[in-house]
Amino acid sequence: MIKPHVERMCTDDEAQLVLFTALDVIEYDICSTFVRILLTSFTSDTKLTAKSLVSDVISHASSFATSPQGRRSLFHLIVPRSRRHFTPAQIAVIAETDPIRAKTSKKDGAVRESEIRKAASEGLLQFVVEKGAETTRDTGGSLLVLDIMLYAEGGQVSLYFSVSCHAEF
Amino acid sequence: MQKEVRFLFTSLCRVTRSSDTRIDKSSAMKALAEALASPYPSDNPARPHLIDLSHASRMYKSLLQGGHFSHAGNTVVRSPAFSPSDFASVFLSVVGKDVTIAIAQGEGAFVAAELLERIREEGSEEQKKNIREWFADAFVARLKASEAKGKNVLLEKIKALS
Repeated sequence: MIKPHVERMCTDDEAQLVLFTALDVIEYDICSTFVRILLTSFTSDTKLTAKSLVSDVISHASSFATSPQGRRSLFHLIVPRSRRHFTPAQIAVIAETDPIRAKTSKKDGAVRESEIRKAASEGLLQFVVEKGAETTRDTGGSLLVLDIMLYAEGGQVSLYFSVSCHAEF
Repeated sequence: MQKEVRFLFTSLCRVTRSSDTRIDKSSAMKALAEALASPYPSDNPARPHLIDLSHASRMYKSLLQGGHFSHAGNTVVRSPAFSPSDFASVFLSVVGKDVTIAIAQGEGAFVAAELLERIREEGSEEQKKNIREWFADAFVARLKASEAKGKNVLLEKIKALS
């Protein structure tokens, strides 16, 4: 429902808090059969969220890098709630849903953050390859490039596990 | 259910692993180092060299340190997801001697100092040997005679490396 509005939300001080909350709390129903549960363990709720919302945010990284609100949307993917980029008031608003999430989500917050960071890292590092030099000329942009380099997941091969199925019934 | 269990235990043991997308910081490191490798100082006043932009200089210094400086702890908080020694290696090979020496004598003394510190602490013997040759006595004499900001810190790091 919010996908068509992601770009505008990311650059609005108030609306982006909704997006941050969505990344923090979205859950998907997990199917009940054993094999489907196993298959969805490779694509858990956070990874499904990452594929949709995160990729939408990353696709606008070049334009987001030019405004404080846009940069904050990118910072949230790799260093959420960092006091270097979020005010105490903003952190407090984002944290309002933490008690609710603790009751409704099986996933630890740190695990969720790590999965979102992993999902965002490749796109953000590619942004640095393509636009990092120019972005660094801007004061705010240099902070963005720095934190992407320091905190994005990188330097290792990401593994894609495929299961070959030789059904023996 | 029994069929599903057999399916699970007899079939799922074969897991093939193949590299998918390589998420690699070396390309990003190279891009940022290449941005520094242009001749210093810039011959275009409207487009100063990155090292002459204080915020950009701070960024490169932080990358060579491997993290942000914490005033609370009076120390650099290293990020486990980033290797400053890898960045220092890329810096040496991409930026090269001439530009590194030029920026060290200009507005980049603090960045050069951090580069030397990183190489001294984590660099290979070959890297240390090379960088000693770059920052040899002739350079030290020129630096001492200059008014470059940060020259005392750089002189200290050169001495520590010798």
